[in-house]
Amino acid sequence: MWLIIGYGNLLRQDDGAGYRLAQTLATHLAPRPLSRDVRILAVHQLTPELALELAAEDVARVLFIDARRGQSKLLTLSKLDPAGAKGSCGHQLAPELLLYMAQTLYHRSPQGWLLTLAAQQMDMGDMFSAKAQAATTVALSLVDKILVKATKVAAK
Amino acid sequence: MAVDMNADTKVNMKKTVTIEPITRIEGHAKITIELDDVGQVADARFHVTEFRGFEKFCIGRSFWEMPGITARVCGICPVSHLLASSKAGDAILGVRTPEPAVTLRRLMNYAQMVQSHALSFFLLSGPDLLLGMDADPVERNMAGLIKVHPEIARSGIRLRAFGQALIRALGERSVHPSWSVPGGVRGSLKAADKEHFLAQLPEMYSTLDIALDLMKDALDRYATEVDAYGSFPSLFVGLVGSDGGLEHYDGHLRIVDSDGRIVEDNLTPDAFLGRISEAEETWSYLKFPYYTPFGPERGMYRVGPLARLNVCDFAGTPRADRELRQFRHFGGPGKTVNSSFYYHYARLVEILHSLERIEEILADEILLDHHIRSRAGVNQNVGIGVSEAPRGTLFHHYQVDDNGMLEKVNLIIATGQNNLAMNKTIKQLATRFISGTKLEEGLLNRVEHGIRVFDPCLSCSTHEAGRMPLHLQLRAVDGTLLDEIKRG
Repeated sequence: MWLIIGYGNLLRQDDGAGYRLAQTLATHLAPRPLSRDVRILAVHQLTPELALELAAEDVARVLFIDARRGQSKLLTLSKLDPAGAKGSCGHQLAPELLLYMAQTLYHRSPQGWLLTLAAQQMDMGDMFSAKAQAATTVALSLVDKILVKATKVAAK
Repeated sequence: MAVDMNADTKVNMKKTVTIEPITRIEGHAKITIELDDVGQVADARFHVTEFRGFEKFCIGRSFWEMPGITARVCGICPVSHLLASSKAGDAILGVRTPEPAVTLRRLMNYAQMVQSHALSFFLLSGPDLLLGMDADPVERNMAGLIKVHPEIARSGIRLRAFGQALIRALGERSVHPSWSVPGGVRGSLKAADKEHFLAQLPEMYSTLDIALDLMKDALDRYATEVDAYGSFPSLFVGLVGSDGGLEHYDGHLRIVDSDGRIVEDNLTPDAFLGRISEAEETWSYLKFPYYTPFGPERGMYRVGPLARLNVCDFAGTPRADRELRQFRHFGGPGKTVNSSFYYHYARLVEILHSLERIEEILADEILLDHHIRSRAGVNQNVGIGVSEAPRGTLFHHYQVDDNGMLEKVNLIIATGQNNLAMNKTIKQLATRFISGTKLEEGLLNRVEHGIRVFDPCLSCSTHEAGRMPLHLQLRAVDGTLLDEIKRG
């Protein structure tokens, strides 16, 4: 089972791109059999109790989706290492820390990736910049491909 | 980690210590500490360096949208804004909100107290309280706490998840539910959900027993320091019920002084706001509210868990009342509890009280009543909504035209009301712990912790991948960089 967590604030323009992509993915996948192997969460920010979602027995892989300003590429995809968890946090957590929490507190080690979408504007507002929109479109296609490929591999 | 200030060679140079950003709080802020010629603390300031702008953003929109919009001020206390906004909307409609809706709103507010206070105690302040103020900062954080005390971290997460799940069961989502609306709420609680949450309560009470033990151990451990964490006379403000009991949703405002005397009672939100002035400083976006009749010095007041326990006559639930009696020993007979360090303890008493209230409400047949919303148009052009947020009293003040379009919006948040007290707290801590010879990491952390006790929420609500590190610079009065330390 894939767990996809898109996060951000929809009232801070591009900051909400990860949240919006998660919502779009949920609609996009809903009619397809593939959706049975994917759980999607759209959240405002990463909070400690999400560790319980990562630690669920059926979750093998986690994809976090966030927006990042100052990123030249439309998308970046990187593997996450729980050992790299930054300990400090405010009211929101780094995705590595959630993986670390799942591992240390619940002895579950799903593999994790972070997909970042290029962001340009993060002021008050509910409109995405052209750059964030483009990143979201490309990301939708990429995540779809990843999920389809993973399902084929699992079927073999 | 330490910074040698070379006091011997620079005795005539005024110095500024900057702590930025402050970690484990919501939002961006910094602390500066001014040292005089001989290295003693001359002044200390808590700067809020972000501007929210939500009030301007809302002008011209319909008041019906406000619960949904203002809930997005923050991902941690959206319920508080949701409720204060809905109550301002209730006032604009000028109708009586059905009792079952009020009960459901109360239920969500108690769930919010549980989840927010659990985060503050277990995961944000827990690293300081359980690993020690002087622990290596590489370990003194949430990851370090998880490593050393996994069972405590698990309990804290379960408690927080309980509150979040209850909010989600009512509002369909735990962050930014748009369930409460002017005139009532959109939906009730399913019967199956009632049983589900009732079944979890024994575990939550056990977690609280553990937390209270930990808190009392911490009070023993920091007994010689507690008086440095913002222990001074001030006013305390909070809602109390019509019987004087602890209240988080409605009732009236009460102001109490440090001798436990009631300064004013039975204040409506409107009357209270008429007695408050807001001072401004060029170095912070956060204003400095004070009780006008006493002026900016004596009129400083605190809100939040500590204030609520100081202003109420009793909690009104058996377990919380037992704990409240113990809590009050720290103030002395008839007096208020004045050290801000006790905010931690007060949060736990409030979680206990909230769990008991949740239990009562879940057993109440009023939840079966389907009349949960009154409908009307604009009947009043001004509406003020007040509720007790985890961090303190929250006001939403709206003015609308006859079509319900917003002409004025004023959000008075708890953290703003604690601003004078937070500044005084860091000055007290800096004076106690920092002298001119060395800047020890543990001492600086105590100054930071002086802010964390208030659990301020600065509500930028924006984020990007990656974290900003702590960067502390020591500069001469002419701006020359003398030394610096970096964390993260």
